[in-house]
Amino acid sequence: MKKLFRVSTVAMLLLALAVSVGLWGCSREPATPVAPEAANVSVDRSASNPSIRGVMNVQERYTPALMADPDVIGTATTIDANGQPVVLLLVTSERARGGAPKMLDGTPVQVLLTDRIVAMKSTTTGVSHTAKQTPPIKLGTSGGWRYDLANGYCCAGTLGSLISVGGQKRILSNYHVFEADIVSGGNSRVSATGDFIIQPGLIDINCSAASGQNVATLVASRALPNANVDASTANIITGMVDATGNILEIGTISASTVAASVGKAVKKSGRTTGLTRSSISALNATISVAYENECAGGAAFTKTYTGQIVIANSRSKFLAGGDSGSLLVEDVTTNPRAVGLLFAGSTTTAIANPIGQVLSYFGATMVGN
Amino acid sequence: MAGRIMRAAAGLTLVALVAITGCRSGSTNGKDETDMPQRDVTTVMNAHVDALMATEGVAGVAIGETDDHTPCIIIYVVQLTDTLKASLPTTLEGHPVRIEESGEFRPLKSEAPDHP
Repeated sequence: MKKLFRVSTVAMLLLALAVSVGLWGCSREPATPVAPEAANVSVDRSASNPSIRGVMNVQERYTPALMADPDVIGTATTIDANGQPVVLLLVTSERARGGAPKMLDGTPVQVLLTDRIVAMKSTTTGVSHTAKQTPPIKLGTSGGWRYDLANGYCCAGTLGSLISVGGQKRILSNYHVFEADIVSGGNSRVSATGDFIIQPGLIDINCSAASGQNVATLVASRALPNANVDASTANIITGMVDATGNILEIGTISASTVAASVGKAVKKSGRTTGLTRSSISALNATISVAYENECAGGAAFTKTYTGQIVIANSRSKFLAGGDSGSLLVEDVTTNPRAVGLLFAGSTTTAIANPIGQVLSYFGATMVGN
Repeated sequence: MAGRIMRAAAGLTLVALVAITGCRSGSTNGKDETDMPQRDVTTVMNAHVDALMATEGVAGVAIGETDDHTPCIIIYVVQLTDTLKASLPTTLEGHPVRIEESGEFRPLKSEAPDHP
């Protein structure tokens, strides 16, 4: 009897193991879809229809997990072209669309790529990234080289953030925003250390420098074409720039930085598109970017960068012309850590220098908490 | 009695093990073991990046992920034509390749006409 008990116990343990391992081993397999019902024009499309109610239950069960992805901005229950109830996912990026499940507990999933949903009020924050500020100015604002006017055009970008070099606070932006004028050409001058950096940039004051204000003085370093960063700095003029490094609509940031990772939620504050959010779509990028030798000038050189950060930028919603120089930070509310320095892109893709490389180039640290 | 119980349990264990093996086969998407990468994706990208960047119409190369979060090599192209698509690889040393039409990468400074 005792032996039979021992054998039975072992047998039950084996059975339990067999069943549990069998269930666990297949738990990641997609669930078998339910058999489609015949389309019926008179079908009840309200929540009282048991089929629709069932899909709503599935939708509600998975919504918290689905919306943990910042690019999934909503879920719903809808009817597909065959008249079948399905779960609808609203996403704001190709990455999220590609990563969406095809089925949830046997229920088909439809994915709709959409713009981020915002309240349709004319002004949500009242924050202007192009207006002339009362000093000390916050960063994430329009700015540039005071003399960036040539060939019938004026140019500008974003005064992105504040760094500290040997205790001296400097505005961080791009080489091509602060010091890309390397020929006397259309304006009879080239950029040089000591030149004024103004806020707002010339494009926001009808190309008239007198309407702007001097906020910093350029420290020309000529990072390009040799270095792997499109970066430049300017010493702040006392009293003209918020010494805490406050960025419009982001606030103060952390003094520490964080490495990029695929899928990481990020944001930036820039001259043209203001505060925008996206996610990192690729790393370690090798890309080529062509530069001009002055505002609206001729070709200067084509730079091939390595090790760059790629950010989703569908229809330039995240980053557009004039946002160059913006700081890329992690998308957290309080004191976000810097991830990169934004400098280039296209209508689908934005590119940032890893912030570690930028800081190393200048021997600098971020100004923050 | 004890023998029957033991045989039944052993049988069910075998079924479960077969089920696990089946799941594993499914997760490789039917790939032959010989297709499995011998080098990590970054090493492979670095080995091929110069040749890819030298291809007319290629704007960039990076490391990303496929839809099922497998590391992959992304090739950014200015314009995706049939000819360019045919000339680019779909895998590199066992790693998947994704081709994305990005347009040209430009510095994102803004310029405006100097009105009188």
